[in-house]
Amino acid sequence: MAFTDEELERYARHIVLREIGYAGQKKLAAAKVLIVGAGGLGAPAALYLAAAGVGTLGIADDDAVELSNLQRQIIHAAADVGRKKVDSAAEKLRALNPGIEVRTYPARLTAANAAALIAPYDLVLDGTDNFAAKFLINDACVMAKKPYVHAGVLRFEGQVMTVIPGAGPCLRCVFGEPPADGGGLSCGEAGVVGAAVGVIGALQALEAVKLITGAGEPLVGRMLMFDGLSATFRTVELPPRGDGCAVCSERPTVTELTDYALPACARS
Amino acid sequence: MVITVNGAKTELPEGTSAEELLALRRTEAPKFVSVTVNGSFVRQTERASRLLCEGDRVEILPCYMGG
Repeated sequence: MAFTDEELERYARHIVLREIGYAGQKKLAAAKVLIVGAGGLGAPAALYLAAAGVGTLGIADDDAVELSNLQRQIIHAAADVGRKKVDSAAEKLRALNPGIEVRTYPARLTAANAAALIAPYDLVLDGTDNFAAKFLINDACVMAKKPYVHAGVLRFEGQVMTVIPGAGPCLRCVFGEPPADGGGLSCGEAGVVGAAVGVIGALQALEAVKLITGAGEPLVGRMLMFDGLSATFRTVELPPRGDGCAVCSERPTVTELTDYALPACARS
Repeated sequence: MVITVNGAKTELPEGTSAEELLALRRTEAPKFVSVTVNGSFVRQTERASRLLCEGDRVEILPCYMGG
């Protein structure tokens, strides 16, 4: 179906781009993206993807909005404190772009529900705040052969990597096993700057737009590292895919999803 | 010997292992990191036995948890 005049006006700045154009905007309209976590990363990523006209957006999060979230999770407002994050987020996304479908999942991603949650989507964005969830998303996406965009933040820093199963390294190719001890500081413990996590969430949305439209070069086989204090980006070439990887090699040892029993992280 | 760590030349005693290099940087580095030497991933269990050599290029990449 052709775009209406209103849609042509709404997406005019995309349609004028050589790398996106009318055909790319149709791909965005047909795309289904799941965002796991409606927090510091998910908030800007979801807003940008809704604005970009991604036709179906899924938002999964089992938390409620807390006052300490509002310093960075810009999809939620003061009046939303106490509401489910998915309800608060969906309301803003629908207000921003009534032409898209927003689906909400007020659930935590687990080994039991991950495959079914991911199945209807073309692409997944990791906006979670703990290693257990990050490895679960990695394993579920590798097993389902779904591309996903990894991201993490701490203090003034962050990182982004795009995983296309079969085409480049996955999280386990780069980091091996999940850390047995939980692995480090959460943002609740160490702090994080809202604008820094916003940079990283926006980069995830940009990777999604690129993957959907075919524009440019995705961050496959490279980790983009951002340091807000020095205002620098660094791109690290990653080890090749599958070289003994437990999940994405030719002979994987991880063939079922697991809920990693990592210590509980301070909720952020 | 001189090796390159995250793009910066670094002087280290001969025979330093990847594990020892991590320990030297522990105060500044997050706990959960990836180590690659000359582009190859070094597993957590192999870090102690992976000795570094003159001219090696080491990348120590933190995995950030926050979201």
